[in-house]
Amino acid sequence: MARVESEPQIAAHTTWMRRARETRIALGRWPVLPLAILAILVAVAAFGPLLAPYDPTTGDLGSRLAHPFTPGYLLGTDHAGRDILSRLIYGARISLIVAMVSVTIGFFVGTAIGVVSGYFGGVVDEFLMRVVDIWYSLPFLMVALVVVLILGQSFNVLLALLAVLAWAPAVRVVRGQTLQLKEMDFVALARIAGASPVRLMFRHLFPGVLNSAVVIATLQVGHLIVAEATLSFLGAGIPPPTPSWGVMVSEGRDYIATAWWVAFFPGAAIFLVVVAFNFLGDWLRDKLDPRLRQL
Amino acid sequence: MRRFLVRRLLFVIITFIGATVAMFSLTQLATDPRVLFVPRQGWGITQEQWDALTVRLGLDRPVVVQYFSWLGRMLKGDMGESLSQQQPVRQILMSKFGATLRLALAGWIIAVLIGIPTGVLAAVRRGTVWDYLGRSIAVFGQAMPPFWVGIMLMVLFGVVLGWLPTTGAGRGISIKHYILPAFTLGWYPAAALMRLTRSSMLEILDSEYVKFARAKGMGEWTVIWKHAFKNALIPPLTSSLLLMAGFLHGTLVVEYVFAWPGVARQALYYGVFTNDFPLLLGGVVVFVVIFLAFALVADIAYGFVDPRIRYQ
Repeated sequence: MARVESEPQIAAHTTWMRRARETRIALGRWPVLPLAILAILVAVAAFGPLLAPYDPTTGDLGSRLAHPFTPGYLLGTDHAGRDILSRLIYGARISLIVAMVSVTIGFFVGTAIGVVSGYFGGVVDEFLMRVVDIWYSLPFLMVALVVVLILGQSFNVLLALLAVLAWAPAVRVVRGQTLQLKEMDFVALARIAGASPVRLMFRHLFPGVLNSAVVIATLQVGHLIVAEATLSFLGAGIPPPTPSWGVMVSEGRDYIATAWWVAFFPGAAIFLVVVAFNFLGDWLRDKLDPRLRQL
Repeated sequence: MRRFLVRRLLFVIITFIGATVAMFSLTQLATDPRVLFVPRQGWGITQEQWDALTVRLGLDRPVVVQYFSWLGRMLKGDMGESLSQQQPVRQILMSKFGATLRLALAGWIIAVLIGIPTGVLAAVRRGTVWDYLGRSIAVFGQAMPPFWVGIMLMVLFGVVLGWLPTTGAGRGISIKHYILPAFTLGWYPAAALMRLTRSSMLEILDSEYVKFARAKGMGEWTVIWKHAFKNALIPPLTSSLLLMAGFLHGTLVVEYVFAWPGVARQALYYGVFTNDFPLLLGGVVVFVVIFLAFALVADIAYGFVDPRIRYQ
């Protein structure tokens, strides 16, 4: 009897499983953990002043280099007695804004140049591709240091530099795809229907390359966060005492013999955020444009 | 093949000119190099001295003339004199370059030694713990900022364990001093190389001739190392040439972190902050030339190995 009773249960169980599996296939597997990390990051960046227990730039000199888990200082303090957790929270804002703004600029500029280059071809294409080659052959950090020397160390200069770093990879991919797309019938038909080159590029080619451009942009965010941190680390990014994660690592470098946590936590924060963005980018790539797998 | 080579060489020349023009213009825009000779806002310098300085540095001529005379002298091997150190730029660069090159080479060896075997292992044991482990290390490794990796290695092996020195290059060739910087430098490329080797190896293992080798009863070891590995190695090795070029860019951060007596930190980093433009230009030229040379060799190697690429 017991066996008979259990049968509907099994059936119910299997239909539930099947339904769950169907939804899962339809949605694909969402990158839950990366999305959670990024959601926390965005929340922290948005509500930073409410969450941070201390002011990020004024320290308590009585409690310099306090260990993590010291009462009152969860992640310890740095050489000036500033709370590391508070500085991390304010730093999240900097990292996120810098990466997002520069990736957006890079995305639009890179996509536009890529489409123009691929669409017109010939001399225009040759010229733009040489510019990209030249850009790749220059040592970025050296150029960035010189630019900072000229224009001064500021937030806007940093944004501009990173935007310049972000555009080149997009150009190559978008151009390649435009070359393929423009041979297709729908482009020829649009041209016959009297579409101007601008309309062709904007209404017909741009949507075709959009997926790849979005994937490239997402995969770029991680690089940009690291680049921002590297420039700040070398003293050419965010001017101190603004809490940028790169500056924090740089300050912690002087105290590694006694206080490892000063350099450890900001680096770990960069690592977590970059991993999250990379996973998100990989997932988007598989969903939107699996051809880019090689990258 | 000949057309391909000529075209490539032409690109290299155009890129070189473009890159030097860009750098030259940037240093022109930077603060007046004459200020370097002036102790605090013009004190202790007369107008005559100032004018003489202008003539000596060639700043009285148009920028375009300055560029071409610099380019002409540079092609003859004369890179001018450093402003802050009063020594020929070539001499400064050459004295520091060895340390950078040795570090880059050590980093390359580490990247190849870690990246290629783990890539092969991940491909051969596809879908197992090894594959999963290798790929996670690659994904996580690529997300760590190099300067932080360097500092954490210093903390672990220098401070906590006390096994390895944390700064400098030591006397002569001291392997101990190379381990941490080389590992920091090679870590990121190792992850990239591992991914590349894995995908290349997977493709080869799926090919007909590997199946045939297996079908005729060859040992797994022979199939993997003698038949598949040799062909799968082409993409990772050619791209590791580009990695080598990338190393020279990456050395700036590593040299900075480990106080390495190399060209990037001791010549260029300080060159930027003192606006020592002859030194800066000379250094950038060396970096650009090395990058272009490696890129050219990688391209030709690719074209040589895979003739389909030449005609694109």
